[in-house]
Amino acid sequence: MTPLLNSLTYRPTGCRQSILQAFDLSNSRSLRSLEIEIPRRCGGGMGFLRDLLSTVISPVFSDVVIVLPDNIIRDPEFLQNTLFKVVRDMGNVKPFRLVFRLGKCYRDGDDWKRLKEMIGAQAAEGGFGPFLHPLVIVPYTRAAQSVGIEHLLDHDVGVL
Amino acid sequence: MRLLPFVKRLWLRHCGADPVLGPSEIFNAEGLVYFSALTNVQELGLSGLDLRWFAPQAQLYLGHFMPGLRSLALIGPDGPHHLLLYLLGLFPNLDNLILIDSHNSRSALPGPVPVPPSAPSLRGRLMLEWFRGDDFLRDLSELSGGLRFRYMDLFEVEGSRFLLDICAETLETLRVHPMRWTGKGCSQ
Repeated sequence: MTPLLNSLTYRPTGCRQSILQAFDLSNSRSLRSLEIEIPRRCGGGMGFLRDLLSTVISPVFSDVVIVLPDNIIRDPEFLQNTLFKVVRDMGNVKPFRLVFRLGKCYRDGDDWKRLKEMIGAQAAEGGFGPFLHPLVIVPYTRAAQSVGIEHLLDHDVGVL
Repeated sequence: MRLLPFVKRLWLRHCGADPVLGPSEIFNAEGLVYFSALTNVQELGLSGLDLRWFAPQAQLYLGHFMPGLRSLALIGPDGPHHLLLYLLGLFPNLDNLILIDSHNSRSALPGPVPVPPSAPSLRGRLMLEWFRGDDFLRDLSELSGGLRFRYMDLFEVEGSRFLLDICAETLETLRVHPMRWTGKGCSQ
């Protein structure tokens, strides 16, 4: 359906079946990057991401970017029991480089530090699976939306 | 004035109490002198354009942008979508289109509907935000002989599914924040 598609960014809204029909990635052999924005209602999107990844057949697929909402630090249970678990399961099946993008409010302050520590601890314990590439955290900015992941990895702070 | 031919990016925004960019200080005899000197504009942005007033005069002010204009951004264009199509049809080499806060209806116009003078290329980037106008997208596709965008950024757009289908063969980058999907089985 989309043979040249190399980058897909999506914010799920809960209508999974129709979305999967629209994004039939089973012949997108150019797909490199999948970016998903977790909605503010924590819990949304993970099932979609899991389903979508299962259809990816691209031999050049390398990056999954997860954009976390500003309020995610208020829900450590979602982080530990849902987000981290899904990421670990996916990484065990399909190797990719994982990037977390964080809201602007994380740029400074205790929330940024806490979240970075939580993700870092999970990574240190091997909690993201043995096949994942190095985990990276990059601050989220409006300007950063329009540049590629390689640029972010080269220039942003917060790489674990 | 002598530097105006070097301008490649031009943005016009309304300000003050007037909610639309219509018969204002810009589009008048004095403004026309300045527009005529802008001979190399490749990117044009217009905010709050009153299409009913502007479209019939668009060729007068923007006609000489025809060969060079590659990108057009319209924020809150006001008027029926036939006039929006006419405006886009002024620029055969237009590849990139940004429409924000656009709700142009297919309402009937008094008198004959203006025929767009050319078919815009539309092979680059499409960015739509807060967009309503499934019919407009279909008519735009018909005008340009099919849409072939390589980059699409769709935020709260009615007609996303149509765009995905028609640009499937050329699409390289897609950013989508759906408002609702009208596909089978979706009732959101």
